[in-house]
Parts: sequence; structure tokens; C-alpha cells
Amino acid sequence: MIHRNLAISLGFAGAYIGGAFALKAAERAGFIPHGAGGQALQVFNGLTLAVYGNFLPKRLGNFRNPASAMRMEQVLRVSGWAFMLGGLGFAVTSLLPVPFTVPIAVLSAATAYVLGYSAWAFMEHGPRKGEPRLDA
Amino acid sequence: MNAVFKALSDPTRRHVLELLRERPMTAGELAEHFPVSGPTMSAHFAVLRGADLVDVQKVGKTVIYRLKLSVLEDALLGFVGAFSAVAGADKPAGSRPAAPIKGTTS
Repeated sequence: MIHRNLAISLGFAGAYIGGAFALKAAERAGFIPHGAGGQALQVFNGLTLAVYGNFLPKRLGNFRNPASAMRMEQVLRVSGWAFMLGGLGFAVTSLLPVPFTVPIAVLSAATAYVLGYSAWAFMEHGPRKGEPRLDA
Repeated sequence: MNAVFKALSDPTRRHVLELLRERPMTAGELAEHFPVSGPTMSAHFAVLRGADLVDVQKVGKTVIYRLKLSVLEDALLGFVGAFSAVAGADKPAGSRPAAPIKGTTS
């Protein structure tokens, strides 16, 4: 399973780098307008993040007790929604005639929300002393 | 994707997912909320597992179910739930709400 995931990741990385070189070459040859290659990669990055965010809530690990499982579910759910919306926002704003700071701001807002919510969830509802363990 | 639509098409299964949204539950706890037989509930659980909408963890002799929805499946569940509420078919007859976990704020 690890080898399969590694092969998929390496294949994805190779295709991404190959695609970037192909777009740059197409730009230099005049097949596509100047800057279109970078813009296409930005849209691809945003959509990749959206797909990752979509499946993030499904990445559940084993849990110690129902309370910790619930916290983990909530963090993954909020993170998934934030990354999906942030990724889509990044892709859409990359297509618009706006400064590059706008898509970066959209992505930064999503990331800050995920980090803030995760920190809050851990501090507010973190593991408590004496919390029952299912595997104990 | 067809399995997801099939799983979400039934009000009992949708209500199971709504209950699991509140907290992870054992099969027995979930079954208490529905006036149907054990084998019928087992069939519903099997459909939800088949669609990869719930995660099952066995701890000793207890089977614990928890929600395993992607963002799109979550949105689809909310959409179907809202649509069913408008149509008046959102909850199976005789179902009861979940009790909160001790020591949690939600």
C-alpha cells in the first residue's frame, strides 16, 4: 500500500513538473500567451487543494475514545471545508484580472482558519486527564 | 458514486448519518433510535459501509460507528436533508434524538 501511494505521488509529481516545463516551452514558442502557463498552474494548484480538502475528512485514524474521535472528526471536517473552499477560491481568483496577492490572501485566510480552529479545538477540547480509553 | 446516492436515498440511513454527526455511536445505540429489527438495521449499516460513508472500529466486542463523509458527500447529505425536510420526509417514523456524551460541550 505504501509503495502504491509512493508510486502515485511520484507519478503525480513527475506529471506536474513535466506539465510545467511543457507550458513554459509552449509560452516560449508562442503557442500560448505570455503568463498563461503560470496561470494554468495556479488554477491546477487550487483545484488540487480543493480535491485534497474534499477527501481530508475521510482520513480518520484509530481513536482512543469517542470524545477524542469526535474532536478529530470536527477538525478534519472544518479543515476539509476550508481547504476545499480556499482551493476553489484560489483557482477562481487566479483566473480573474486581479493582483496575485488576492488568491494568496484567499489561501492564507483558509490556512489561518484551519490552524486557528485546530489550535482552539486542541486547547478547548484537548485530551483530559482521566478520560476513558477504549483500548485500556 | 452510485452507492453514495443509494445510501442517501433512504431516510433511516440519512438519520443514522445525522446521529453520527453528533458523536460516534455503537451499533446498539444507533439501533435504539429506530423502531426496526436488528437485521434491518444491519442491512442499513452494510449499505452505509459499502458507500464508505461510515467508519467502523471494533473495540473488544463493541462495534463503534463514526462518520466518514467527504466534503461533497457532506454537502450532498445537507442538500438531500433540506430537500426532504421541505417534502416532509426527513425523519423515519418513531426515531429519537441522540443523547450527549458525558464531559463534552456539544
